[in-house]
Amino acid sequence: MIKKITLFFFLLHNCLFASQDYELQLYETIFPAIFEKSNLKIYSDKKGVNTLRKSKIFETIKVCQDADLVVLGSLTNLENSCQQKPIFVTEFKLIDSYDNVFGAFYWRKGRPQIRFFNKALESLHLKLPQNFQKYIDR
Amino acid sequence: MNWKIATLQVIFASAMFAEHLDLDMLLNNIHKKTDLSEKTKLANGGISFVYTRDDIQRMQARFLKDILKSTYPYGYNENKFGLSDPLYMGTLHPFVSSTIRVFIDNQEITTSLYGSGIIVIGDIDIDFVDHIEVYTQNPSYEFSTEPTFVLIKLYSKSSIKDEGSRISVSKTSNSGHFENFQNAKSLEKWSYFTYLSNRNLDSDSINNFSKDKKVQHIFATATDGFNNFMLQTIRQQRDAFVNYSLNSNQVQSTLDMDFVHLGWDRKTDNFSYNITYDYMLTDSDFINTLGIANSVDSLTQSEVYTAEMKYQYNLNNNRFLTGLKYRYKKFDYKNLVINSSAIKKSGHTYQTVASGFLENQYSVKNSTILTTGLQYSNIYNDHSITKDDLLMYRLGLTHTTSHWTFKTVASQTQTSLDPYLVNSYQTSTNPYGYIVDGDKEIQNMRSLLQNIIFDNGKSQYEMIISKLNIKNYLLPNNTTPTAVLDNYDNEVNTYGVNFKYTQEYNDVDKLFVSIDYSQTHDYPNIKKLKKYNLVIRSTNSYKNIDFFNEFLYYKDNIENKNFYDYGLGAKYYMNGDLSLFVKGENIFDKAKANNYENYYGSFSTENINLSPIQKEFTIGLEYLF
Repeated sequence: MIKKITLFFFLLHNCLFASQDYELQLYETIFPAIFEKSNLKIYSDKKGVNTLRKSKIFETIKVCQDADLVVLGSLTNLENSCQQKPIFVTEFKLIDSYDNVFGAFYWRKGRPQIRFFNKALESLHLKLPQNFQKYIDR
Repeated sequence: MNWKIATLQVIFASAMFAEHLDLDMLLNNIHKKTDLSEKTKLANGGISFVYTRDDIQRMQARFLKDILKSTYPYGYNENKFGLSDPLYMGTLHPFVSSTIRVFIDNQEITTSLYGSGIIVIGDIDIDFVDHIEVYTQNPSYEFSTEPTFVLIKLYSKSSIKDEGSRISVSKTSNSGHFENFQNAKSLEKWSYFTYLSNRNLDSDSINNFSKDKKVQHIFATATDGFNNFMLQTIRQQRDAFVNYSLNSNQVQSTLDMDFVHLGWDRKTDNFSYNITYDYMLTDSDFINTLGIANSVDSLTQSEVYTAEMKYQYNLNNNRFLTGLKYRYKKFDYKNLVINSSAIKKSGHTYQTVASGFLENQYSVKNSTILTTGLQYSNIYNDHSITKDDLLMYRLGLTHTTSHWTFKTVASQTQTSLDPYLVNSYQTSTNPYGYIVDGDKEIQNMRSLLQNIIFDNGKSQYEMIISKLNIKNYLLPNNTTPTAVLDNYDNEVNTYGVNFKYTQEYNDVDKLFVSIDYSQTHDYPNIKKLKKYNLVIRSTNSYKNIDFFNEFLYYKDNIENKNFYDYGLGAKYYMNGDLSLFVKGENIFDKAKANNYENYYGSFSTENINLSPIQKEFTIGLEYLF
């Protein structure tokens, strides 16, 4: 009983204080909803790692092959194994860089924007929740 | 029992995650709460006030004067030439506010003859600006090559947030118009931001005193993350307002100013470097039937070269910052003809300022920081006996708890003569108020203040109590427009108290109130000068419309009049890219005004009151693509 209550409060604490970083909150909302699990292994470049490693539900890894997805903030020459993974970019100019870019978060025209791309979502067999449909790039 | 607890866990966990599924809310939070001002604000830079991107947009502040007019401690004012001059004293001097300095990013905008760049950009359009920070009471020496009592930092937009293009057009009720275009892009290694604007201002003119102007402005930056390049050019063709006139019969009163700023700064590891160049060409013409002078025709060219190097070093609980700065100001009065007589040049052609500073922030405990700073400047003028050594210091203690911040700051600022005051023109009469080259004392300003802030997240209460002592104050030696600036024999003391209250009702509704009282003792011809200021500003949103209201009140015991400036505006977002805005400024035409004497006939005079903030209504469109 005590163990369960402790576990409950641990979960509650994690939920409440998962992130004070708003960008990280965004990722913790999007990725579990699309991949239908919360403990994701994420490979990222230096720019993304600084944000993602603060997460209590994601694990940042150094080897692409084991990753569930890739978060890319700067243009680097991704290995082939990384290019096969679902890719989420955080710069507008990276959207067309790889075929597997399924989503993007970036600043443009003075405001933050989110977009998802149907073609990549379909080829990766990823399903977008209903309330994310308005961000599909048409 | 086990399944009940498990169910509760799922319900609570879902409730927590459900909150996060609203992407619109998250994007809104990112927009509001990751403001770049959080990254740039000088921690322990003295008393500061920040206008965030959101503040500037909601206030529809399009020109720097829209911000300055309600900013502690000095507000905004213009002099007899229609030029920005917050410390204007009613004389014919072209500029007296050189201790109020302005930076764009890490580069100072400055002028050779007059010191501060406020004379050029005090009323410039600021649609290229992301956020603005104002520091007062002798802020950090990190950003002051020359003596600075108020530091205004404009941070330009960049491709970080503003990739893409934006165009804005507007028209005013006074037949003026304003257009601007901006574009930002990130390339492989570099990113850039460019901005162009054109403005035609038709001002109120009373009795032929006009401030009409045309301004073309170009601003551009490029950066690779380490090196930052900046270019700014401003061309102004202005009517020069009252100028040297004593009545309204000007045949001609014009002032053309061309200004260019070029700069590079770089930060690597512990070092930062800065090299800038500022150029100004002014061409003024004045012809009148009754003036201080009947005709004045002048052409001046000036340049400023600045180089700085700073080094930061952390050791145990200390954060040391030290630096060397050198500034070379060159000027040439190419032409000066007064009443058809050419005035012989004085021989004064340049001034140099060499400064060194050392600052330390010592963490006494996690919540307490002791700041000490020292700056020494050597001022040299060729062909002049004016050569000064200036010593500035500041000592500050900041203590913070979860809700409270206590700041105590003691400081000294010393100032020398700006180049245009250093020498006079060799003429048999001296009606223009310039100081004859003489041994003027260094002006010494000592300040002590206490700042207390209480912040509980949604509400912030702030109080500033201050005392400012000025020795050898450079003041007009009489009350006529032809007064000469001279060292005042008495020490002048100003005591001030300022209360600020900020309430954020939610993400979009905010109220700001500021009440300010100051009392100056032993000012010339005035036993006590008392000033009262009130600012009330609210910004709100309803569906796709942003509103703002602003009320400014001013009174002093000399004119004993109530001045109030009421402005309001609304911006309607038709979609994410297109918006329509309307704004009214000084709607009741009762804003704080300066008094000008107008002589007509042989013996008659009348007083004319004209405000630097004219009554105006604006309508415009903005489109992002």
